[in-house]
Amino acid sequence: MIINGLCVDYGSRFCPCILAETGGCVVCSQVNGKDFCDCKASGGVCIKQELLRNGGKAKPGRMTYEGEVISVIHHDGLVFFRVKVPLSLEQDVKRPGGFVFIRRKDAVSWYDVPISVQYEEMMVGSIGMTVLLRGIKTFQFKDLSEGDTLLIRGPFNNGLLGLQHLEMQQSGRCLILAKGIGLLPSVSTVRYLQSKHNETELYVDEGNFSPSILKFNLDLFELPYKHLTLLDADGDLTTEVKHLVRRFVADGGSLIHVGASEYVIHEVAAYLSYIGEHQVKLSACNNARMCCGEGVCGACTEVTADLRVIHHCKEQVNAKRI
Amino acid sequence: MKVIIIGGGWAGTAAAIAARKAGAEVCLTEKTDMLLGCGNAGGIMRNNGRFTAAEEMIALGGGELFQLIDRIALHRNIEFPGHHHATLYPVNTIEAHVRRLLLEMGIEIHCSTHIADVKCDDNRVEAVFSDSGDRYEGDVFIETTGSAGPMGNCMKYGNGCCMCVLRCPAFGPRISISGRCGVQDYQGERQPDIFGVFSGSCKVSKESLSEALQQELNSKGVAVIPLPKEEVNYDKLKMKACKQYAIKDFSENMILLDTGDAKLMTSNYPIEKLRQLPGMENARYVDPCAGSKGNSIRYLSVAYRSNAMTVDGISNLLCAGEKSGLFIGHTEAITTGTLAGANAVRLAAEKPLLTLPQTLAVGDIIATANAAIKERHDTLERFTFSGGNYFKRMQEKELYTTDIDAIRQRVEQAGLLGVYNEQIV
Repeated sequence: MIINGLCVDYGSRFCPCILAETGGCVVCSQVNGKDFCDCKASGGVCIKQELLRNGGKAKPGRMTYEGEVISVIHHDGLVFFRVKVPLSLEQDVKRPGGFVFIRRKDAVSWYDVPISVQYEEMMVGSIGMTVLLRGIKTFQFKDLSEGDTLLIRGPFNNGLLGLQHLEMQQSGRCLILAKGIGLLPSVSTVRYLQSKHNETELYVDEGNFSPSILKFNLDLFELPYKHLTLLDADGDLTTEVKHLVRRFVADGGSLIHVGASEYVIHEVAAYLSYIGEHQVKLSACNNARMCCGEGVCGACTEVTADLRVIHHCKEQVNAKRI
Repeated sequence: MKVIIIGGGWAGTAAAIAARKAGAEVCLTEKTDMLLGCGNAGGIMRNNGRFTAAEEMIALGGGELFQLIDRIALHRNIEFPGHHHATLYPVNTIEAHVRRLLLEMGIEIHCSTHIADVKCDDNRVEAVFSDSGDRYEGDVFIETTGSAGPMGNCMKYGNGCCMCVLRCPAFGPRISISGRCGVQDYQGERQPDIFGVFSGSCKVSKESLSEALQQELNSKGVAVIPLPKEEVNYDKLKMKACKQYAIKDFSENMILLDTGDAKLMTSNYPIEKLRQLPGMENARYVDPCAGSKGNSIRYLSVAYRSNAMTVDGISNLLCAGEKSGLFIGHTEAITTGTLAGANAVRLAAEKPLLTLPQTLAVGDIIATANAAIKERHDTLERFTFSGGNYFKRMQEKELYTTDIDAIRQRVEQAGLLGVYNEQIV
C-alpha cells in the first residue's frame, strides 16, 4: 500500500469517512465546501465522487472483534502477548504504522488502548503486541493470561509518520534512532525495512526505562543495536548524534527513522535542515494521544496557525514539520 | 542558474527549450509518464492564424518545436470547414520525438513526478516537492500545469472523470502552484456564472472505422459526415473550449481528422449514436476512454500575470500555456511557453524582461488576453490564432498572413530576429 495524500485512510474501504460527510475531509477541498478541486492526494480516488456515489454518507467505520489471548509473557512490567484475530484484520494491521485499540472484555470503551502491532509473517491468524504497564489504562493487562478475551477495534494505520517513505524505501541504508518506549514500534520498522533489503543501523537511548525492558524486546527479535544518548543536559542533540547523522548523510543514507518523543523528532529534523540536507527522508512514530481513531472525539487534534484542525489519528503529518 | 518547470505539456517543453538556449540548467517535471499532456491528443497546427504565429516564432528563433512538427507531420496544407492550410501531426509518436529533442539539448526530464507541494516565503518560491517527498530547488520556476481537471473539478463542473490523456487517477491531480503560494487564480466560464469549459474533441481508433473512411482519412486527412437532423445540437457549441471549432458546420457534421487516430471534432458523444453514422458502425473511443460520458473540464485555474509572463504577486514564478490565460491550442502554448522560458533566465540574471510587441501576432495575443482579464474581467472570451474573435482581430489588424517573407520582415522591423537564440547566461 502506498500512502498517497495526507490521510492514512484515503482511498481505503473506510473512505469517505465521517469527516468527508461533515465537511472536514483532510484531502478533498470540494466536500469541505470549496468551489474548486485542490486535491492533495495522488492515489487516483476522487473523494467527492465516492461520497456522491455513497449517497452523501460516510462508509462504515472500524468494527470491534473479540479475540482470545493465545500466549502471554510478563517481564519486568512489560506484557508481550498474542491474540487471535480474523485474517482480514491481521492483513490490514501487520504493516508499519498498523495499530489496534484493545481493552479487556469487561472494560468500558474508554479503556481502549492504542497499541502498535508487530510487523511479522502474515496469515497466522493472530497479532503480537507489547504493552508497558504504565498507567490506569494499561494496568488492565497486569494479570492478562492465556484464554482471556480481549476486545480489538481496528484496523488503524497512522501509528507512524512518513509511511510513504517507508513504503518506497528499497535496498538503501537506514538509520533508526529510538528512545525509551519509542523503541517498541521501531522494532517493527527495522524488521520491515530489512524485509525490503535495506541495511539498518539501530541506535537506542534507554531513557528512563529499565534497560531490561528494552533488551528483552530486542533479544526477542534478535536485533543488533548500539547504545547512544540522544539529548544532552541542555536538551540539544548530543555531538555523538550529530556526528552519526552527518556520517550517515555523507555515506549516502536515504532514510532516518526516529522512534522517540516529538521533541527529539523535531530536533533531528531541525538538524537535517541546519546542515542543508533535504533529500534524506524522515519517518517517526506518531506520538499523538489517540482515543477514537476515527477523527471524531478530538483527543488527537491540533489547530494549525491557519486554523486548520489536524486529526493526528488520520493525517500523515510530515515528520520534518513536527 | 537553475530553472524548474512544473508541467511538461507543449508550454512546459517550449519553456524548457527557451530557457536551455538562454543558458540555464533546466529541470522539467511532469506528473504523467509522457511529456506533452493534451498534445498527445491534439494534433492540429498551422490552421488559420496559427500559420502566422508559427512563422513568427521561427523568425524569433523559437521554432524548434514547429520545425520538428513540420518534419514529421502526417498531413500538410489541408482544409476543413472554417479552417485553411492546417498541418496534422501524429499524436501517437510525437512525444518520443519531442522527448529526444529535449534530451539532446541537455534538459533534465523528470516524468512520473507529481509535484504536490510548494515552499514559498516572502512571495518567493524556494522549492517544490514531489508527492514522494523529493525536493526541487531552483532560482526561478515556471508553472505550466494547465487548467484542466483534476477529478473533483470534472465531477463538479462536468460529467465526472472521463479518463482523459491527463490520467489524474493514475498520476495524481493537477495542482495550482500559484494557488499554493497564496495567489488567487481566476476561472474561465462557458456561460455566465457556469465555470469551466469542456475540451472540444475526442479520438476514435482509426482501425474501428470502415475501410472507406480510413482510406479517406489517410489520403485527405479529413472526412466530413453529415449528422442526421435530429442529432444536430447547436447548444453543444457553447460548452466547448475551442471557439475556432464552435461554428455551425461542426454542429451539422461529424468532422474527422487524421492525427494517427481519428480525431473527432466534437466533445463527448454517446457511442451508440456515433455508431449510427456511416462508416462508424464499429467505432471505439481511445481518448478519452469514457468518450461517451464526458471530456476534461478546463480553465479552472488561470494565474494573473504580466505580458512578460511573470505571475503577479510572486517574484520568481512565471507561467505559460492555459495557466497563463484563456488560450486554446498547442501553438498558443508554445508561444507563451517560449517567452516564459526566455524571461525566466532574464529574471534570474536580473536582465530586462522581454515583452513582445503587438505588431506581432504572438505579442498581440498575449497582451489582448491579459487586457480582457485585467481591464474587463471577461472570463467568457477565449484566445486562439485559429478562430473566434481573436482570429477576426488578427485579420482586422492585418496580422494574419501566410507570406513567410513578410512575417520575417515584420519580426526584423521589431528588432527581434532570432531573439530566442540569445544566450543570456
